[in-house]
Amino acid sequence: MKANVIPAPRVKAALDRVRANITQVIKGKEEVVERVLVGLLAGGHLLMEDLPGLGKTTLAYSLARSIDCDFARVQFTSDLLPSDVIGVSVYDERQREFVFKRGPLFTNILLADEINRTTPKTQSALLEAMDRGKVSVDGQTHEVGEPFMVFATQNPVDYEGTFPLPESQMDRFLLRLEMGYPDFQDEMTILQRGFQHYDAIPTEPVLTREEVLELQGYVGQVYCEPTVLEYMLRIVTATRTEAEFRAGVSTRGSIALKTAAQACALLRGRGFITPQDVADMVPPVLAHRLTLRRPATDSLEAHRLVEASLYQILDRLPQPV
Amino acid sequence: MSTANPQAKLEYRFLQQLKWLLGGLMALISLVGVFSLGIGAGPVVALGMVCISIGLVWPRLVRRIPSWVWKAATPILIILIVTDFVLAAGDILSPLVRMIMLLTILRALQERRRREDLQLLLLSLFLVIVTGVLTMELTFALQLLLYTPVALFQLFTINLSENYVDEQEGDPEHWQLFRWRPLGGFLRQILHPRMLGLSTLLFFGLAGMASLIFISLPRFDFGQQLPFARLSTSSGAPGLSEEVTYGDVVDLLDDDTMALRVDVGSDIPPSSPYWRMLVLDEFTGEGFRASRSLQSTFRYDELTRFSAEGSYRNRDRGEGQTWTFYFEGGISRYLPIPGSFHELRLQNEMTLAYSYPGRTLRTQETQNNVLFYRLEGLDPTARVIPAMRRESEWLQQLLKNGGELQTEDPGYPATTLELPADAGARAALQRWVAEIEQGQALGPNTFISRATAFLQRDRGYSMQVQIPDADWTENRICRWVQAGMAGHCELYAGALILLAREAGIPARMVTGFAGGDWNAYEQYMMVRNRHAHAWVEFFDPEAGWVRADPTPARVLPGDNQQQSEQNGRESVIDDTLNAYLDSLRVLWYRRVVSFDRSQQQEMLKELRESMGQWGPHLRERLNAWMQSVRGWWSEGLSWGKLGRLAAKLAITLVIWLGLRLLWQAWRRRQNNKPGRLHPDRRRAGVWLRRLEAFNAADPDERGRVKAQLLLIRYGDMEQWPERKTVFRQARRLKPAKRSTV
Repeated sequence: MKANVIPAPRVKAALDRVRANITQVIKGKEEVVERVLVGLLAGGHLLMEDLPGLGKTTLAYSLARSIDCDFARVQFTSDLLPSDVIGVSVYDERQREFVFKRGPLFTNILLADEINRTTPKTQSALLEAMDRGKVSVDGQTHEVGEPFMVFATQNPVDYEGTFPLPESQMDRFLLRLEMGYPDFQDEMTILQRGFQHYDAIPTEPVLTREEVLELQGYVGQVYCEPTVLEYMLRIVTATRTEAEFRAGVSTRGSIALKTAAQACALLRGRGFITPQDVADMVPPVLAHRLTLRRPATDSLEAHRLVEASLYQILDRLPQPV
Repeated sequence: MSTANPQAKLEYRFLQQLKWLLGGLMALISLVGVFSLGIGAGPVVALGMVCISIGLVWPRLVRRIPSWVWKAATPILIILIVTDFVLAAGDILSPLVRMIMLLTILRALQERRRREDLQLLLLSLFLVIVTGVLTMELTFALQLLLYTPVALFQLFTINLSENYVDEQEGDPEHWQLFRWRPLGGFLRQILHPRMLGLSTLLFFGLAGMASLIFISLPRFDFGQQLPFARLSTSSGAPGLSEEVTYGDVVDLLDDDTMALRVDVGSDIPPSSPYWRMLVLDEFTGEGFRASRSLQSTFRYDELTRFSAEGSYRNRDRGEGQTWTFYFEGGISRYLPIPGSFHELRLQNEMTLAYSYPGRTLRTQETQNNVLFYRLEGLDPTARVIPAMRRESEWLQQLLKNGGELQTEDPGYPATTLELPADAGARAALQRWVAEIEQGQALGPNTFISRATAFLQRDRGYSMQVQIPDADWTENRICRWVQAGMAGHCELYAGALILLAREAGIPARMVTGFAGGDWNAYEQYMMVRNRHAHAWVEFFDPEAGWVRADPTPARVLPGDNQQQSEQNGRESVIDDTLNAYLDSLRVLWYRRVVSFDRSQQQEMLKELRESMGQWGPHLRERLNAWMQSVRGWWSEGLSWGKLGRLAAKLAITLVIWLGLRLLWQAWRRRQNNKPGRLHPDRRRAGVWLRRLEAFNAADPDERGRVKAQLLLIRYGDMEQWPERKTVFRQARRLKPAKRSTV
């Protein structure tokens, strides 16, 4: 029996449209955009760690607009309660019963701004929703939006008064991204365009929600040849024996790597993974799941050191050819 | 975990371990040759080799040796070397080799960096070449065969490790990580049957090419070109030198080592080989020696060929046989000659002396390595050595005078009539001669036969002889004859000489070898030291010097049959394992070491002849086949013929299909093995690697082909495109034209 053939060229064409749409707004960040699309396809959530004002919100919003999805933004503060995110049951006088009033979580693209500024209690409420795709309030289960994707942001430098996410919760994010400063020419274009609020930037939808769900359905079918799978596993195993790291990548991490590589292959118009897809996905998928033994001055430096070690592992392990 | 042909990552520690392993191997291979040099370094080499082997297996042990040991080793070594040179007093070669040997052992044991690795390579190469050139042994060939790939691999490894400039050489961590198991795993990972097959093919290809070059190159002898090849000499074995006392020759009889190998140019062993080496004319009382006047007849000359002019036979090249001799070094400076010959040829020019009266040849010094020479126009059966005209006249004149010597120091050939001065001995000799002659006037031949019979009467052969003391003479030979006891060749020969001289027949002792073993594998004579023998030559005025061997038959250790003295010492056929191993050495001598221009020409001639025979033979076969086809066709078609043809075709088809099915089943089985990469995936991988650096004329086409190849390599088999087409397209990709700017 023939396996289901993935319409890889069609998938690529659709995602290229989204990509083109976003890159009209976010200048010079093709790699970040590609990874965001990987996250979207894989149905994962993104942790964006960078300084404020580099276009994280705009990116999330333009993605939501491009795929015709709802967008919500929550500014996480220390006094934010879980109910402020999830929602709350209020008593309806007319119906004489408690009615669940949905919070901003019930959307498709949620921007959780400065997630480390809120208390662990609120963080875990959000993370539970991220993990399961549903929330339970007063014994009732409520489905969040479909597709559902969280863009959580963190300021990597300013740590004062924050509640850093524990390792177990970092593991829930499929990818960790950094926006980085735009280069000279791109920033010049941004400046020439003039200041606009992110929600004022005109972005037309190029995909429907249903199409996005269909594309997400193909990811699991992307073929992974055994030697590529072995390569992937060798990388994961290497993180477990590397002296630099306190602990290696968990099995959830290796599953995430495979899913991200599958999504990456699909984004590149293929129905199968190549070792290069795996190698490309290793830093964004694994870096935030690893902690260094030696101390670093800040989160950015720590991540750079982790990434350097990962690149060394990639350099050491030959790709199957 | 088994991986399907991955590109294993070459880590610096693996290179370190490989360098250590290869360096140790090189040292071990080179040190083996020192054993055969005989420079008295055997125990040191053995100890060094054991230490190197231990260091190879447990490299971390070497690391544990405190650094002061290495620091102290250098001055100690310098003192040792200097002392060795001083004590050697003029002999340069032996201390030089010992020095190189010690340095090699030291370098092989020490922790090495790039410089030391290269030093070890040079030192071991020097050892291999020096020992090889000096000994010319078969081990040299084996050493070269093993050393060359190891050294090349070592150079390659050293070169590769140059890329790891950022790695700390000699970092203690590398030693702590030093384990052979990961290296073995790595080697297993990189070794692929195809690579092994190709390497084997490459090795044999190179060996074949080297053989072709060896055969076709103009001949030269590098052994003689190197100065140290001439430096080494040896004193030779007692018993085969100018002076023989009783027991010297017998001492050799327990020695089973090889002395001489002779290629007789036929598959039939020669019947009575007596290998003459020395003529001893002067009686000393304790034995016989070559008199000063006989020795003065040797004339030295630098030559590559020597022709025995004068009274020798077989002057015509067409007569006689051609025998090639491989005379082991360290035996004697006298060359074994089995009879009269026309010409002697040497492989290289060397200093040689010939004594016409004795018909013996000698070199200036005893050679330390194997000496090759060839005798042409040889008559190995000759019992008679013609005497020189002057020698003959002189002896006849001497005999006319009643054999009485005219002067105190008569000189050769008068020495061949010299008798003991001891009155008791003389009286006994006269008595025995009278007993032999029994009042008759006997000719030399008859007298010698009777004297031999007289000596052999009631006696046998014995190597352990305790001659009883006697008050009537000090002469050992006379006391032995009187005692009527068994004896060995020297006693028999000595006694016969004294009896002959007493009877007025000039006689002299000849030492050399008698008999030999016939190697059943390579058909040549093997003469060992235990074949050393002494016999007699007496003067017959009508013939010359006639050989007589009074020693009765004896059973030699290792011989299968009793040797018959009367018919000469017969050759014993040897087909033991030792003989087989020895035959390998002869192959080495014949085909490699003594491969000269004449053999080269002969081989080319044979090749041309055999090529010339193939052509007509093939043409003949082809014509015959064509004729049978024509005949078959001209007979006309019939159902029977067609049926037979169809049956043949059907059988061929069935066999072909069967083989194909078997092949496919085997391929399928191989491909389905777990962890084994499908051949098409592997092939696509190879093509992908090639395309990486391929600058195609049409980049779009290249992109399309690459996508297809990626699908074959990493994609689902169910969605594979037509593979042959993709590979064909990959093959047909055209490279971009180079810019002419």
